[in-house]
Amino acid sequence: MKRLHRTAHARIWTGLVFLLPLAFFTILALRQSPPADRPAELIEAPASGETSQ
Amino acid sequence: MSVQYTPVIWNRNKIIYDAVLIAAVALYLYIFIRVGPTFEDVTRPIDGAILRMRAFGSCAFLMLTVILCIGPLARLDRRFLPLLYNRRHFGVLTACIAAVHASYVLGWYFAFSPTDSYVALLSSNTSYAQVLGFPFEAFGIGALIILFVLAATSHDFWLSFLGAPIWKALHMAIYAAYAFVVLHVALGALQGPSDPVFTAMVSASVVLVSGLHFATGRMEVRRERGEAAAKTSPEAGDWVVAGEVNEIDDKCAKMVTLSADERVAIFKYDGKLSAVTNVCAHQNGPLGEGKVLWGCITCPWHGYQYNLADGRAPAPFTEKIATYRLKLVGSTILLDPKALPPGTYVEPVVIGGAG
Repeated sequence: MKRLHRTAHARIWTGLVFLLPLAFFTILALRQSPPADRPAELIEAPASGETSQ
Repeated sequence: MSVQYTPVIWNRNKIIYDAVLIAAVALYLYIFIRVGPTFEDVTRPIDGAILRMRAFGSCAFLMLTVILCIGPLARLDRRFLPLLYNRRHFGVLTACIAAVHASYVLGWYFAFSPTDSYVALLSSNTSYAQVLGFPFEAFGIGALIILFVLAATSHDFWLSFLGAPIWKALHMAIYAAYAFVVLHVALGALQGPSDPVFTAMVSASVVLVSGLHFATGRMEVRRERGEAAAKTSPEAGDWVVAGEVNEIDDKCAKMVTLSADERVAIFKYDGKLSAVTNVCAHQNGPLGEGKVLWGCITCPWHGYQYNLADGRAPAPFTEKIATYRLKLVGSTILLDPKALPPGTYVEPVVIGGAG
C-alpha cells in the first residue's frame, strides 16, 4: 500500500502555497492606516443629551 | 504499540517533551504579560484582559506554526524526527491555549451584551460581503472547532477505531485550521493599530509554513517520478526488477513503486534482503525511511517495530504488515509484486547465497 496522504499533502500545498500568502498579503495591503495627524488619544463623541461648553 | 488499554503510555521521552513544551509556553506567556507592557506606547495603554487575550492568541498561533513546521522539517532533515514523536500532545495543548484566548474574547467583549455572549459573538458583525470589516471572528471559531475535533480524536483509540487512512485524512484538516487562523489574524488583529513585530511574525509564519510544505510536496512528486517504478523483464516472468543490491545501504531500505497505490520497502541487513510494505500499521508512517534497529524495522515516526522476515511486531505486540517475496539474480533484485497476507514469513534472501 502506498501512503496516499503524502500525495494529498503535495496537492493541497501546491494550491495553498499561492493562495494563502496571496490572500494574507492582499489583506495587509488593503489595511487602512489612520491619518498621520490623528490625536494621541481618541476623542470620544459626546453622549446624546450632553451639551458642549 | 500496546497490548492493553492505557490512556497515555508515558515514557521518559514523552515526559521530557511535555515538560519542555509547558515550560516554553509558560515562559512565553510570562514574558508577553509581564515584560511586554514595558515596551508599549504610554499614550495607548493596553488593558490587562486584552493583553492576556493577545498573549494566549499569539501563543496559539506560534504553536500552530511550529506544529506545522515539524512534519516537513523532519522529512527534510532527520534530526527533527524527535519533535515529531509527541506532536499530538503539542496539538492538544495548542487547542487548550486557543480556548483560553477565546474565553478572554467572550469575557471582555461580550460578557455584558444584552443577548447571550455566544449569540452576541455571532451576530455583532454580519458584514460577510466586504473584505475589510469582515467578521474575522468566524475564521477564529472555525479554526477552534477544527482544533477541538483534532484534539478530541488525537488518542490512539480513535486512530484504531477510524483506521489510519481516515484518521490521517481527518487530521489534515489542520491545514484548513491554519488558513483560518491566518485570515482571522489578518482581518482582525492586524487591522488595528500598526504592530510591526506581530505583523512580521505572522508574515514570517505564512512564508515559512507555505514554503516548507511546498518544498516537501515537490520532493514527494520528484521522488515518485524518479523512484522507480519496478520494471518488468521477460526473463523475470511475473516477478519485477527492483534494482541492484549495491543501491541499498546496510540497515536501510530502497523503496520501489509497484503501481499507483503500492510501494514496497526492500531492506538490506546482516548480508540479507527482505521486503515489506512501506506503510506502518500504526499511523501509515514511512517504514522505508526507517532503519533496522535491534534486528527490526523501526518506523521513523513513533518507533513501531516489525521483524524483517515475517512483518510481525515482536511479542507481546500484535501489529502485522504485508511481506513480499524476493529473488536475487547476480546482483539484481527481483520482487514478486503480489503482497503476502500481513505477518507471512518469507525466508530472507542471502546476498551472495544461492538466491
